[in-house]
Amino acid sequence: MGEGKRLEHLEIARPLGDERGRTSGLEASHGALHLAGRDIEPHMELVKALLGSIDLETSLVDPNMRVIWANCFRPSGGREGGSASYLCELLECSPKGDGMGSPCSLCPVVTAIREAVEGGTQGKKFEAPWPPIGVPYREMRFSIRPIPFEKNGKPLISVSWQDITREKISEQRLQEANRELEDANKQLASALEKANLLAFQAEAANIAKSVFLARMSHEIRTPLNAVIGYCELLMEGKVDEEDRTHLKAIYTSAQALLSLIEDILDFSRIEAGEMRLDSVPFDPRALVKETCEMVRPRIHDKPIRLSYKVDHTVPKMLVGDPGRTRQVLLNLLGNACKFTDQGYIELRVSLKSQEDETARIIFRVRDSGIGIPSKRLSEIFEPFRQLDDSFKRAHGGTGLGLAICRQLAHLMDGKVWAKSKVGKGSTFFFEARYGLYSREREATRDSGQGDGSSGPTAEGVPSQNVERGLEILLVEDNHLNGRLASLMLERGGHRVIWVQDGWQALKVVTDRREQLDLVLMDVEMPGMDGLEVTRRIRAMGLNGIPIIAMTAHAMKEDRERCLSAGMNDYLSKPIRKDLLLEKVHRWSRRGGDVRYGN
Amino acid sequence: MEIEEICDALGLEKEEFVEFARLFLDVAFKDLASMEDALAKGDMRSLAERAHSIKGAASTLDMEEIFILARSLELKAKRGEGEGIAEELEALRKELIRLENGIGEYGHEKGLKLGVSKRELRGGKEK
Repeated sequence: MGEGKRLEHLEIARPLGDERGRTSGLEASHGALHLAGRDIEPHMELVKALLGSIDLETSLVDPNMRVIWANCFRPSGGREGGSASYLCELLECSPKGDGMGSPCSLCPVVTAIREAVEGGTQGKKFEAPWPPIGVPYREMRFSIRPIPFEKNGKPLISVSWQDITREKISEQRLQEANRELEDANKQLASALEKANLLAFQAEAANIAKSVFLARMSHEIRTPLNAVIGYCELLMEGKVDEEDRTHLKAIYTSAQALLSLIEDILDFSRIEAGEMRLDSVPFDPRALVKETCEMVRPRIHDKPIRLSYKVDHTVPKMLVGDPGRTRQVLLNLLGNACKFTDQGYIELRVSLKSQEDETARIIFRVRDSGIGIPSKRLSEIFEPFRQLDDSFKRAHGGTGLGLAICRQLAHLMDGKVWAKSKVGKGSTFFFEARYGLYSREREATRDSGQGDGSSGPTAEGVPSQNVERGLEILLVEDNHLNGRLASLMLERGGHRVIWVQDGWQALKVVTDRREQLDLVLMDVEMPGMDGLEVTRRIRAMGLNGIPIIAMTAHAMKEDRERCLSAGMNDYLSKPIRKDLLLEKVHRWSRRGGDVRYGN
Repeated sequence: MEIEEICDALGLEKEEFVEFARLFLDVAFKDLASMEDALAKGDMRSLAERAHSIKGAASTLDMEEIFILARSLELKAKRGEGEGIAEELEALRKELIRLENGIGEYGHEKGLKLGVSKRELRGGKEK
């Protein structure tokens, strides 16, 4: 029955091939594949040679699955598929028959061979678990094609196969690995998202903290200043001795509280990484002298000799943050005053090392005070640490001063440390790294962006500008503030050009670029604000004129905004005469040594 | 208001400070009128600008109550919050009047000797 069916297929295929006279090749006609076959027997040697040369396991079979020839061994031995061999045998699949049994109807190879014989396809490639009967234990890839030859009047089909079990396992492993990678990626993305969220929350908290600090600095300091001010006034007036004692207690407590708040603010800023150091040229000798003079009143009437010495090897000019350097020295000297009842306090400055562009400077504060037990020496630089409560009661202080010194020293790429002997005195060391001031370097840095203004004169501290008075452009839209600032500056010996908006400011800067020494710029103005005016001035190439912002905000962010717009410095509002003149004086001392944005 | 303290910070004689305070009042009353007008027109931007102006000057002269009111007005105007502005403008007016009366009394008591003339204060550099 099966044979008859197979013959029927062959008969359909062959006459078509014969009619067209084809000797080779395949032709698809009306969607069916037709074989134009000829007898393969005379070509068998060639077929064997060809099949033997290819790597894939390949066999030629007839529609009954009978192997005509194969390039692989049968499990039972022998290379050539003889007339008794079936493809199933080569493929190690039971029932090793002609594919007609019911299990074979499920076999994809049998199906593909039938399709090829019936001309429904030019061939088929597929992968299948193998064997199709029973439990598959490997994966196979098949390629089944009709070929234009026949044997004994039966069409021939080429069947190639390859065991791809390893490949599949690798593929499967790769897929698993990919899935794991995807999972890991998802987890990473999720972690990143969480990290971003945390960073955002931290940033928000940081901003909130900055705002809180700003408010605190204003809201607490303002009433405290009022308390201190009223105390001073009352003490100046007629009060009896008892009231004076009470007033003094209030005054001292308020000062201590103010100092504590300043310390906490400084400490918080440093902890939050918000403390930015200046990088400006300064004269270390002048700084040391000035600092000692500031400390001198704290000695009161104690028999103490306060002296200072700066070694000749210390450069005449350094580049760094003189304000923060002074803060550290004031703290160390202040402590020395506090803990020394008689004898001496001396500040000595020496050069530790010098390189091409930097110098390490050591400040040493030595006193003949009460001293510190050696085992406590390292603790005193920890925040809120003092030797003990009785010590604190006797000497006051917040316990933050030295911690701030240590942090500031770190910011200056340095350190603070101490040596001491109880009853003999203490020596505190403060080491910091500063830039070396070079006129040539500064001039080079200014050239190309300058407006023709000269570099600093000898020692970089020209003072003739201040002596002759400066020409200052004041940009302030508020009439009262403008008038008041003008008055302050004029009384400080300066000449003031006051304008009330950005456009007028640009005109004055353009017209008087050669004469102007300094610009004081209100930041918040209607129309063009101070930041924009500054940007335009800098865009005009006028980089040599110092521009100082006057802003009601004094937070780091505002300062950064001012500096990045091209301003050199900033002054907090409300304006106060001493601070205004000090700032003007400070910038006037630089002559043409003006840079911004660094 | 503690005049001595603020005078010291500003580098002014007391009489000069009083003159500055009068100048402040002149401008502030005009600003107040402008703000009332702006509120009626719903022009919050102008209102904020005028409040900002008063705030800046009040801060310099350390007039705390006026500063606080002006700051609040500026904030509300910038946020477009109309509610409460009329009341705060009225409170500001009262504070300005209180300051005016205080200065009048002070000037009367001291007999002002001006270190800087009114003409100079209101002089040519004003717009």
